[in-house]
Amino acid sequence: MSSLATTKRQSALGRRLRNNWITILIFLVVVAAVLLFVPAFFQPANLINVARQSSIIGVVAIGMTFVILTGGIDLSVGSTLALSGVTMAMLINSGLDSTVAIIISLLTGVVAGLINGIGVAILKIQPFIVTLATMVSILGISLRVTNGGPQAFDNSGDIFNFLGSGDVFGLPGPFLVFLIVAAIGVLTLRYFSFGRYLYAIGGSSEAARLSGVPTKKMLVAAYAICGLAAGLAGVMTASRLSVGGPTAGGLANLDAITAVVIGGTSLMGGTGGAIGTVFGALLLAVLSNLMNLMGIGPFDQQIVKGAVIILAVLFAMQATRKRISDRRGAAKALPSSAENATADPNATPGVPQ
Amino acid sequence: MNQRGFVDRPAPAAEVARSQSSPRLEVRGLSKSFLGANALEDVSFSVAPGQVLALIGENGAGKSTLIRILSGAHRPDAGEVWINGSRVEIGGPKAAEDLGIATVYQELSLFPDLSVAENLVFGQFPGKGVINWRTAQEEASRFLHGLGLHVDATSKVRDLSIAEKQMLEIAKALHRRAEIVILDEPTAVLGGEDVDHLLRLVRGLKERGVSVIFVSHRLEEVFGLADRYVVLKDGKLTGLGDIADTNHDDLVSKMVGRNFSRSHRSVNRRVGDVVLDVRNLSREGVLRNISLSVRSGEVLGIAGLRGAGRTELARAIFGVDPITSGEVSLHGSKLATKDPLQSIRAGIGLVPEERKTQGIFIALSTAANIPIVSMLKRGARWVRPAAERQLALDYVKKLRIKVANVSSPVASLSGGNQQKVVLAKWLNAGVDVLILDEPTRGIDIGAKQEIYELIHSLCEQGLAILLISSELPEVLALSHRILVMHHGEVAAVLDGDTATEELVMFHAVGGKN
Repeated sequence: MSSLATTKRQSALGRRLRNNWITILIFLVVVAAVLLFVPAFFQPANLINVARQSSIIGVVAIGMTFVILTGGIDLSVGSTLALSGVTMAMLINSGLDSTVAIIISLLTGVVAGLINGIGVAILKIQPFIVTLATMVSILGISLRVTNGGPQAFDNSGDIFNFLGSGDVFGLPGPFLVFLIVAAIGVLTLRYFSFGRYLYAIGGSSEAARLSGVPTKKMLVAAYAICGLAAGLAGVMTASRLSVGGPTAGGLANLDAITAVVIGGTSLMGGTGGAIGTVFGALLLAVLSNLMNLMGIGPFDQQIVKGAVIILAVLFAMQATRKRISDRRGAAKALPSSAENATADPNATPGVPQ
Repeated sequence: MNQRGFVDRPAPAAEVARSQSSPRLEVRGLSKSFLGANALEDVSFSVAPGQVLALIGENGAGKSTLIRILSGAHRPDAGEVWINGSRVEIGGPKAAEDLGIATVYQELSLFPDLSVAENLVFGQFPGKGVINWRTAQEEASRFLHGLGLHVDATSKVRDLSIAEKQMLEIAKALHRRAEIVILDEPTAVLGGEDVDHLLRLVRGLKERGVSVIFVSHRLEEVFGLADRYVVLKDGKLTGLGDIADTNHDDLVSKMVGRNFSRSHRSVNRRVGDVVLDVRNLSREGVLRNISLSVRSGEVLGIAGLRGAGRTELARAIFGVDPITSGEVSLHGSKLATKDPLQSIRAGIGLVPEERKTQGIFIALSTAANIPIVSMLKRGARWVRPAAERQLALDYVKKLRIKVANVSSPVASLSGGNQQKVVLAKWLNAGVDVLILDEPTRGIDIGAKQEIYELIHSLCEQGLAILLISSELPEVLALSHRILVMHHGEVAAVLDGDTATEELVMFHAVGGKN
């Protein structure tokens, strides 16, 4: 038993890599294939482009990870992204200082998230329904205040340059923002007690409540964070395009959910994390960039993207299953715990494996 | 692996020669190993038609492996299975069903949103192509009635009690003409009356000539029900024979492989001041006017039938469910019992009834599970993984938790070890009052004994303990006083030294002095 315990021990990094190895492996295989068939991909200019493309969905997806970990979902992030961009554009056009305008736009995202959180945690409506409703309403608000038209504004300030398109040491500003957001997300989920409570709620909200976790407060906070991330993504989008468009959200909600799921976070909540999401977002950006380079039309791209989602999730499931059976194997090798497999709630009695 | 504790296994051949006709089921020299560890080693026994065989053993003894082989989920590495005198291969679950073997697991395989009748005839629908639902319903009603099972065939399975669901599962097996029914700890999740009901059904099976393999941790049931017994320990047969020729202590010593006498009553005698005081606690329609107090170093047992309001009382004290009136005080100061976190900060802990969904976070690791309450209590902002690991290793040692790696999800732990993780969670947070709701349900005897010892040592450290349990011997052995509940009220408070099972039951069923 003791020798087993020592061989099982490994560095935290090693464990992370092992836990996310499937996503990383797919990533590497794709890179190798690309090296062969689409060498243009590795032009520095193109790589920078990929990084830029990944950043906005990446930021939204990091926020989404918080919500999905609790077992929830947020469909309204696309609408929130658009509203935030519209808000910023209109405030700047009305002569407000750009920093203040950005802060107010971010707060718009937080408010949207708070509304979602209250609907889920206090009113106890299913997350899907609450955020479906806010998705529609928030889009309505954007369309109403803009009368349906995109709001152009002057994005010549340094801050917009950084958030939207500028370079810092050769890296695109939005990508740096994504990396910072991702780092904050990873650290919060792993090293803040708040993060631990979100995993606990996603694992079993009843057990969390009985352990004293203020589940309502935590849920509201998770949705608020998701809203904040969507707001930030809205500011980034508008900064880049010099326009706040009421329909800028597009399918950002689905793309973000895709990135989270490909990254290995379970839609049931309780397992996963932000590192996976970073890779998920990168994978999506790489995929669409590659298809562009290969001259695949936008319609076909959609079809391929759907197929890739299924494949990635299948792989991830396979990896999880293997991890579980490894663990069971290890447990069985221990004397007097040969029946551990039956303690697993996922074990299906009577089904051969 | 030595053969310690193994005494009276007759050779399989002798077993065959002894029986007149061929047994319903016979296994010969069954072995199975996983990754080099023997889960089952050369196990042989037989069951006659109409016989109930009790399969006994601690968790990890190989019972599940044996059942899984018989139900076609695992293939044995060596050995033979004979049914009605001919050798069979159980290639898969379907093959097992065709051979007349039906297995009823704790986690049931019914469709909750279909009706009783639909579940019963599922896969064998009457009518050609189009299902004749009226026939199905009539047939189901008749069939269930014949078994003495009085449930409405049109009601949804979701609305049945756990006991009714289990009985329906057994009925389903019979409907498919099963001749061998394997029941995997059917009573572990049931309360008192439900158990009786189920046991009656099993006796009915006997009369129909069905052979039953009955797995249970409750030896009392085994004595009331089984004809023969098989004891497994570490995958080996350590006992086999007629129930009439054995007794409780004998079976337990075969299970644990050492001499064992039923835990003798030993309670902590240094009882201090009142810690928890509950006055006139009421909750509309659930609890009425309940007053109780627990002293430091004392165990107050709470007994009662299922539905008497024991769990509801625990939840009300802990502040999970709202109360209509009454108050809870700790060390003399009144608590605003409306939020578990406030109760936790005041020093109350609750080990809930449903371990997997309420007690532990099954996807989190042992190391992540243990500190969670203390983090909340202290209002900690940070998680320190290295410190958590060390803390977990300390508790693994202190509570003898069997775990391969404290960083793997607790899902891979056995029930008893999961329960120890729940206890560690509360001990680490520091509590003055610990409410234990069915702390040993579904846990094997060895782990049970360890939890009893732990309760005892916590008492000696001055904790006040509320022990809710459906197992009367447990309540009687551990409690200083026993509060018996009936229909949401206190029916009696008995002295632990003089109380008997009969006396507790008398009050639990609403008897008056």
